[in-house]
Order: sequence, then C-alpha cells, then structure tokens
Amino acid sequence: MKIENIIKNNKEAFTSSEMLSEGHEKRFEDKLLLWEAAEQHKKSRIRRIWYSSAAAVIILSILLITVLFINTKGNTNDEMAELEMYYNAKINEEINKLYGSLEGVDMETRAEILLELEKINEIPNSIPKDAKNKCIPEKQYAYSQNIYSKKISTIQRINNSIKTIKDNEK
Amino acid sequence: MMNNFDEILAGCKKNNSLAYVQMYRLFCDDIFNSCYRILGNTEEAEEITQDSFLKAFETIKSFSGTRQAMNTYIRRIAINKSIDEYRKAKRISFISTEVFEDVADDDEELETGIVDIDTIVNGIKQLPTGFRLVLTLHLLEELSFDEIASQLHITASTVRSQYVRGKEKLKNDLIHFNTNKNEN
Repeated sequence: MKIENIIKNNKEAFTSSEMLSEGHEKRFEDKLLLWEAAEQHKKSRIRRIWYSSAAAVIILSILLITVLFINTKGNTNDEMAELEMYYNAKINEEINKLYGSLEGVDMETRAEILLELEKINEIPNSIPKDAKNKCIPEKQYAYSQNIYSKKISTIQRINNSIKTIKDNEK
Repeated sequence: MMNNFDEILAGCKKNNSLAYVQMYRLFCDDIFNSCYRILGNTEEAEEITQDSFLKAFETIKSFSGTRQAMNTYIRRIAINKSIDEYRKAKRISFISTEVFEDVADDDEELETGIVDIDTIVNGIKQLPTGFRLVLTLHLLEELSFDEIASQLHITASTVRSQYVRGKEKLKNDLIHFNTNKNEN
C-alpha cells in the first residue's frame, strides 16, 4: 500500500492527543468581548467617516453652487454695465453727428427731428422687469444689445436722410 | 440554548455573543487539531484557533453554507494563519532541493503490515520541519501544491520536491525502524 494512502485512510490517527487547555472557553469569551468592542468601535468609526464625508460633500456642493451663482451674477452685471457704457457712448457720438447735420435746417424740421430723437431715447434699453425673471442673463444681454443697435441704426438713418436732402438742395 | 447549527449561525449573524461562543464550541477541537499539527505547540495553536474564529465572525453575515462548509471555512483561515505564524517565526528549514527539482514521484508501495499507523505518525513528527509541514498540509489538510506554495511563499516545484523527498525519507525511516525492531 502506498504511504500516502495509508496516511489518508487513517487520518483520525493523526488527531493529536493534545487538547485545548483548561479554561480555553473563558479565554475565548474574554477575547470575544474585546473583539466585539473593537468591532463596535470600527463600525461607529466607519459610520462617523461616512457621515462626515456626506456632510463635507453637501457643504462643498452648497459652496460650489453659491460661488457659481455669485460669479454668474457678477459676470452678467459687469457685462451689462460694459454694454451700456459702450452703446451710450456710441449713441452720443451719433447724436452729435446728427446735431452737426442739423445746422442750416429750418427750425420746424429741426424741432420735429429732435422730438423723434427724444422718443427714441424713451425706449427702454433693458428687458421689462416682469420679463426679466423669466429670462436667463444671456437673453437679457442679447435683448439690450439689439435695442441699442436699432437705436443707433435709426439715428444713423435720420442723419443720412438729412444729408441726402441737404445735398439735393445744393 | 441554541441546539442546531442553523440557529447558532442565525444568532451569530445577529451579533449574539452566546451564539458566537456556541459556534466556537462546535468546531474548536477540530480547528485546534489542524493548528497543532502545523505548529506543534498547544499555546500557539489555541491562540491561532481563537483568532481564526474571530476572523471568520467578521464576515459571517454573508455566510450561507452548511455546518461542514463553516468548518472548512474556519479551518482554512486557521491553516493559513498557522502557516503565516510558522513562516514569520522562520521555523521552516527547507533542505536544499536543487538537485531534486525534477525528482519523479516513483513511489514504491510499502509492504502492508510492515509498520503500524502509530509508527507512521511518530515518523512524520521526526521529519525535518519543511518535509513535515508539506506532508501534513498536502495529505492531512488536503491543500494542493499550488496552495501550499502560495502560503509558504515558495514555488510549487519546490513544494513538490519537498513532498517527494519527505515521503522518501519517511519510508526509509520506517524501513530502518522495522529492521532495528526485528533485530532486537
């Protein structure tokens, strides 16, 4: 018979006569108590880490949203102010040109043209307040840009018409 | 008092201390024996046995096998821990196997009745540690050569050559023992 077969067939003979020493159960219970306390501590630590992480994520998200919101708002306000400054200067330039063209024009026509100019000025440059809340900042910006462009092109058209009339009179 | 394995397992899954102790009672002798066969020291074997139970309890919530499967599971933890302990203490001395790397396992049969089983048990105990450990792990704990190799951090061919040489030495020792006995 092969030696490994003898060993495999007689495994119980290899069971040691040595036994767990007296009091092993008590020692295990003591170990178990320590283990249970350590496990409890581990679990509460994991829970604490989880809660802290969740709180950190929430706080970071709130911060991020706030910063993004403030930045978007700030950028839009700055851009709007820049737009107003640019177009107001451009309109003033065109009005000055128009005033120059009005020299030598009869008083009645001049009064009529200035009245039209005033009406143009009365058109609001920004989107009405009640519509503002429904519009994203980009749309508000585009709306104002469109109004300013139209005002400028209208003044330029009036100026060109005056020049043409004056040229024809010559 | 919980009487059957399923009740004890359910108790362990609910972190019931009494269930943990009863689970220990069910398997402690068997696990201790495996540890003792590897370590050869009762205190260390007890320490590893108890630590193995606690290690198994860490993941017991996901266990859904039979009583036999639980025994195998805890025993596997205990064997791995015992080997680690043995390895850490550097108690294993493998006899150089370079020339035996390709040794063939041409196992001759031992004449039936030449020696009794107790003599074989003692013969294994007398073997050098490397041989004894590999024979014990492979024949008694049923670990494959690859499993033993990975636990001992050596190659599978080294394990195989240790096994073949160990078996050869054991057989020679037994024949010598028998000859001496007959002469006396």
